[in-house]
Amino acid sequence: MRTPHLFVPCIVDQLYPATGLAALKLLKKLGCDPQYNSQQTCCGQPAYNAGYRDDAHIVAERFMQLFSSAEEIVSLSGSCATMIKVFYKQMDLSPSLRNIAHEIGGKTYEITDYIVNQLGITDIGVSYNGRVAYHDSCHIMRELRIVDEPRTLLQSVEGLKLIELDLADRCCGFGGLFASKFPDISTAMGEDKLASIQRAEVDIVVGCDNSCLMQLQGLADKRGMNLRTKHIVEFLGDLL
Amino acid sequence: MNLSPSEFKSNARRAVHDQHLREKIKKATGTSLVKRAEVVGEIPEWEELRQEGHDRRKEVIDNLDRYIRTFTGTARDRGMIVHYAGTHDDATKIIYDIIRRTSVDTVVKSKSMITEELHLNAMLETNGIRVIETDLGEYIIQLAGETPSHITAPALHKSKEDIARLFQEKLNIPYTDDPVKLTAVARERLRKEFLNARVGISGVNFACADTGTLTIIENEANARLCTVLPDLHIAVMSIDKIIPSIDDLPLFLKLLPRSASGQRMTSYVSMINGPRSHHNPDGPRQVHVVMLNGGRLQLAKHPAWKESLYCIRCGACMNVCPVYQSVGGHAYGAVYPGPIGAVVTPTLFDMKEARELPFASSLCGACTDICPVKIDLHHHLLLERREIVDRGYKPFTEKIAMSVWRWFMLSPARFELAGRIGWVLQKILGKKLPLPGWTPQRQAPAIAAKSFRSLMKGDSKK
Amino acid sequence: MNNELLDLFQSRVNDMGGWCAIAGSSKEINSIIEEKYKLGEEEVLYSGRIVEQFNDLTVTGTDLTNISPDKRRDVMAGAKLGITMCDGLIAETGTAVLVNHIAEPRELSLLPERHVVIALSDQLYPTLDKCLEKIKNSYPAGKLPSITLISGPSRTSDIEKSLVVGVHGPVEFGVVVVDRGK
Repeated sequence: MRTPHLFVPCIVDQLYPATGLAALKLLKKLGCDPQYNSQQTCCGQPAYNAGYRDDAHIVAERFMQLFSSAEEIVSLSGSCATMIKVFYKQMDLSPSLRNIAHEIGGKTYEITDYIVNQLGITDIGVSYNGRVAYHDSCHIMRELRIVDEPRTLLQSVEGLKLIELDLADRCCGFGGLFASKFPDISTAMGEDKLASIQRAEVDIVVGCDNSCLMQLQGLADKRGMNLRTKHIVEFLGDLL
Repeated sequence: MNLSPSEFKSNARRAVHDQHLREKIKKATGTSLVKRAEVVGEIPEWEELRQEGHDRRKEVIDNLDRYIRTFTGTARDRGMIVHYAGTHDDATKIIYDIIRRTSVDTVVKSKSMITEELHLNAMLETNGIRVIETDLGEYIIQLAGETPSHITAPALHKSKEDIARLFQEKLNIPYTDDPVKLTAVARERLRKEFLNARVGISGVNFACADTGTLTIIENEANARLCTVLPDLHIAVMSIDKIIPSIDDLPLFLKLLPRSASGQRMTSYVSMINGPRSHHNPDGPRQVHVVMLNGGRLQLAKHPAWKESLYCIRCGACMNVCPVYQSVGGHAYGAVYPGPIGAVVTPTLFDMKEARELPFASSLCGACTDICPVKIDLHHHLLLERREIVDRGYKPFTEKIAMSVWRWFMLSPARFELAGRIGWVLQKILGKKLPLPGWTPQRQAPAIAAKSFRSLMKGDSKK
Repeated sequence: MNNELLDLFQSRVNDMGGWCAIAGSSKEINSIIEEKYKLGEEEVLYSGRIVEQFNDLTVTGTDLTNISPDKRRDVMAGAKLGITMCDGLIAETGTAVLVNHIAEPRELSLLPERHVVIALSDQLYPTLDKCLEKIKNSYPAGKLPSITLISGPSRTSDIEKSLVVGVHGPVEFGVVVVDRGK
């Protein structure tokens, strides 16, 4: 039995614990024995993206040490998986830590990538009657090039009609601290995305990053726009 | 609008709330992207061509000194007069001196971003020389007294109604917002200027080191008129415009027009191989090439930032950038807007003044994906963010905030505590809990009553 | 003659807003142009190079070389049509490649209101690299004249991205390909 270690990013931990619970449920259902190390905090991405490399390195180093013995790591965020798989390798690290960074990057998977390509499961045997749009978060799409995996899982849901957004490859405007440093631009970008979602006339928008969904949901709620968003594992987990 | 990159935040805020402007930019960039996708889609080996373009540009930038020497030599052999300008001031002085010796008071000029960098028109006009911009977009911008908002579509921020009013006022013609009629007016006015011009100024898209060929790409024929009709042609280029060989031109002519305007080929490509001579029977009697360094040699030596010099100025990164689409080019307050502008303005010009630009990105990476010479644009923004922080150009409070963040993240107990404090505050204040930079525009997400870690703790106790 | 290549060239020229006609012999050239534009002798200028190339060709118009050099520019600027030869056609992009030539100044493809290129079918290349190589090799090193690539009439999209044909250069552009094997 595979024993993937869950990486539950800070946003999921404090704001969206249901996503974490759904991931446990889903992985168990798919025959895994998921592990959770409660010592985990953050991968270091906020400081890394803000240019504070020392702060980022210290937090990243802690993460690497904590997960170095794990056989496989499954991330509940495409963006945090990118940090671990792509950006750790680009840090100025000591040689020993650099080895760990390479090793840890190789055994970390975004969860839909893990389910489809590691477990080899493309159909989890659930059904849903309605129109669903998948939101491509930029990191998962352009850094990890994971585009088909979440779609595969959604398309195999019986009765589900997967709708492509006309601005599918457009950023939602979140971008981490960018969202609060340049709220006007971030909002303008989010509004374009919301308009695209409205044109698609879907029941729900599903994604692999709660942060992007938080941006879209927050913008929609403020405007009184009717929008439902859900992390993909939560969406699928709820159907089990 | 204040044209300094240090004013980006306020400029961007103003631009974002200008719905009219946003609509215009969105329409223009959207049209370009659709056309680009069509003609790029025709080329199955597009990815390989991008890599080839990257490699050829890298070859030049890695050996820039040598390529400058080679190009200078071949261009001189072709009878061109080559001037090397170390600084922007040197370049404007050289250009002014060339014109002064001819005793003309009017020059015709085609599009050149380097001359924007030099603020050439203002300098020449102060010295009594009238500069006539002849590219339609540039002509519009010059009439309006503005600067280009896009490197290949300078008047992209103007609607046809804006242009109609401008022409009515400045050219004393009856109001018409028909692009065909407006273009005809410009043709008629500028044709006279071309036929009388004795000095023409142009930019250069590619300078071939092996043959000394100056290549100029355009659609309107104004660059041809500027470089064929006058007695004297001044070509203004930066040193990074060199490509190794004339044999590389077919590659770059495949990459550039498709990326820039969604064309398989622009209407005209001029390959200028020297002034009028026995084997080159017409054209100007003198061709001057003014080559600007302007900090580029230095930049070419930087292991990472040198990549920004690979740019072939197609503007596709601007078209695809959601930030550019939201604020337009002027908000950047810099000669080069959009992703390449955000990358190059701090490193080539003034990092302190432009310190906001690399942060004004969600790092979505659309620019990197579209770049025809595969410049890793969004990762460069990330690198520059570090440099800006290292140099202490960010507020001290931010540094403190990061240290506090780190302190919380180094301990799961402290991290949990921070979350719980947030939950309590949210319980008491409800929707009124202000999150700076978030809640004015968006509903705050609800902090969970129990975090995932505490739920798991409860689980294991059971 | 590669018909597929010629078809591609024709359709690319059309895409760029130009026209392309095939002449079975040099005698057909004039009738194609006359039918298209119905212009008088005074309004049409052709290059001396055409005369060199086709000794059996009569074009309604004036040979530029018969105009005194100091008047040529004004005459070209006032002409309704300029006719030139070329040094290659590129099928992929619908491009005519013009090398600067003593009897065919660059202004002739630039100043008249319209521009027509006369080409031979064996001048057709699939892509630019092949054509450029050929041209480069036919001149001694360092003696390559200036070259102009022309694809369609002059155009702009500077006003709200709407395409307007005919800006500072020719308003119309056409190619007559002489295919003697036709």
